[in-house]
Amino acid sequence: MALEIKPTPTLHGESAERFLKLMAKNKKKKVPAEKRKQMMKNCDAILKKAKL
Amino acid sequence: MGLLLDCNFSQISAQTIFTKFNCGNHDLNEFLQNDALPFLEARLGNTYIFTLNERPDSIVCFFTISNDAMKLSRDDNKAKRKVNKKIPHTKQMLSYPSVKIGRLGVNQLFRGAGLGTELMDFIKAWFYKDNKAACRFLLVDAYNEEEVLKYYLKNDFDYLLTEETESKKDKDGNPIPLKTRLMFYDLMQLRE
Repeated sequence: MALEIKPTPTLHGESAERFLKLMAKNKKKKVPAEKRKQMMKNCDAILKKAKL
Repeated sequence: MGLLLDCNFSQISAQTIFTKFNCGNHDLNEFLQNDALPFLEARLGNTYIFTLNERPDSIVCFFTISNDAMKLSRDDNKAKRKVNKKIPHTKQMLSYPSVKIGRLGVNQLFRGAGLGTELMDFIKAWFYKDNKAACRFLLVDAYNEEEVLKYYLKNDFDYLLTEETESKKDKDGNPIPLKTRLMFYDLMQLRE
């Protein structure tokens, strides 16, 4: 039997605050424009010929 | 040019041949071979594969995803105040729609060419673009192994909880070693 996937816990107190701080930090992070453009282009190319 | 661009992307089906896949991790191999289809049928997790164009039986990599949510408790006044203050227009927004990557594996034969990052870039872009049901975070329950954690950190995931908070103790109060670590990626990083 494969290892169980842990359920995502509800964050309380300090953990919730820590998460919010990380979110605020992430707000300043941005994937560089050129890399982003390439990611989207590759994604389009893959989905275009995908068998979904 | 990445290898994934030369592959076929599809969802698994009863016709998929899983037997040749080996990512070097018994749990992941077993999941793909025995559990992925029942998970799909029970609507618990959808598994997608990349296969070589000329060899449909050769799975290059796979991942399994399901809907999830990132929830912050409303029972903690301090946390609630902070949430309300920091998130404009969303006074009651304490649950963020998310997608959980339940399993992800790369065939050993194709390792070492940046394929893992290529795959993660695809998943990120896919969920950012295809926002039919809104999704803010990618979540993962990563194996607590140096190489695995390094991979997710390199791909800009953060730990959801500190190791101390995530750890549990046995009945004698001794810490139980963590088998996995919960991590998340904020898709807002992909905004223009």
